Amino acid sequence: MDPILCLDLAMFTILAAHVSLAIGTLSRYLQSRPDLNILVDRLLRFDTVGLYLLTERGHGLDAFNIETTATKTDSGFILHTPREEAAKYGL
Amino acid sequence: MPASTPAFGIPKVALVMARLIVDMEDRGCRFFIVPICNEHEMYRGVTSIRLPPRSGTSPLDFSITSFDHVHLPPSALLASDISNFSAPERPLDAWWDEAGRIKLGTAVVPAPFISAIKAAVYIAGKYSIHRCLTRKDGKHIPIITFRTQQWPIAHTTAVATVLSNWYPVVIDQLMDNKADHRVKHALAVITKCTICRYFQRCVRELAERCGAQGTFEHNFMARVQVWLARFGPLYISAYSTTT
Repeated sequence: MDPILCLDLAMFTILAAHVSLAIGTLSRYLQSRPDLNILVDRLLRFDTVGLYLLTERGHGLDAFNIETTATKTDSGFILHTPREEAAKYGL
Repeated sequence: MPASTPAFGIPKVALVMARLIVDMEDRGCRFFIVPICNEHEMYRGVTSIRLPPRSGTSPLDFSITSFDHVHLPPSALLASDISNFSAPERPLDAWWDEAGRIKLGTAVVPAPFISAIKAAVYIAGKYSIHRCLTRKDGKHIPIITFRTQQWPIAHTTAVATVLSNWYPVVIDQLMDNKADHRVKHALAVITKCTICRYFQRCVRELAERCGAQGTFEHNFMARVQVWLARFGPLYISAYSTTT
């Protein structure tokens, strides 16, 4: 790891979320989901920033119990925050 | 940098973990690909609230993001088979499989602190060599001749050497696909805590040995200490107890 990273740890944190969490999670599916290539290419060029929204205001360490819902419909999904404590807390 | 707002003129896309609900039934946690903002504005139904800035100088802010009935296409589901909506047999194992990058991230985040320990001990060593006091006979004595300077500098040099040799070994073990993922997760947590704790102990003592000069922004030590003090709780505890 480049030692220059310790001079700007905020930037390092943004990069870690962008590269390790967002791109890292997506790349696992690239073989079976070639449609994701466009997004991953944009992320790799940093034309788009990747965020990783996992924990919620009311669910940090117990992120297993998150409350945000994605309800299946005929045309896809409806993503919804059911209450304030279910809002995503993140970088 | 407020995370989920268009404040910096760059589009953002999030992986959002949510409970998949099919026919009123909870089918477990899955990731969804959700566009958050373009260069200028938030997308419909997505709200981002910027949290207050933290002490210290790094411009990294957090934000609260919420969704109000945001429509997503079927391809937004992050899965190999986007028509498979079955509930997992073992929900906790499935959750950790979804959030598997957290385990690697746990081991990645402390890496710059090894460089920071090295930088701090180099600065403290150089300072102790050129900083002098004058003896009764008029001779200048560098303060590195004092045991109180030598000990923390020698100790931290040893710590930095051990950590920077140990870390690549840990990464090799974490990248080994045959190893048990639970053992790898434990190893990642141990690595993060060990590096952060050694950093806190060593750099605090080095900064103290640099006196007033150790407190200046441009001399690095105070700045990097503030950073870990602000984010240490996040770095050390986050997700560690989810299982």
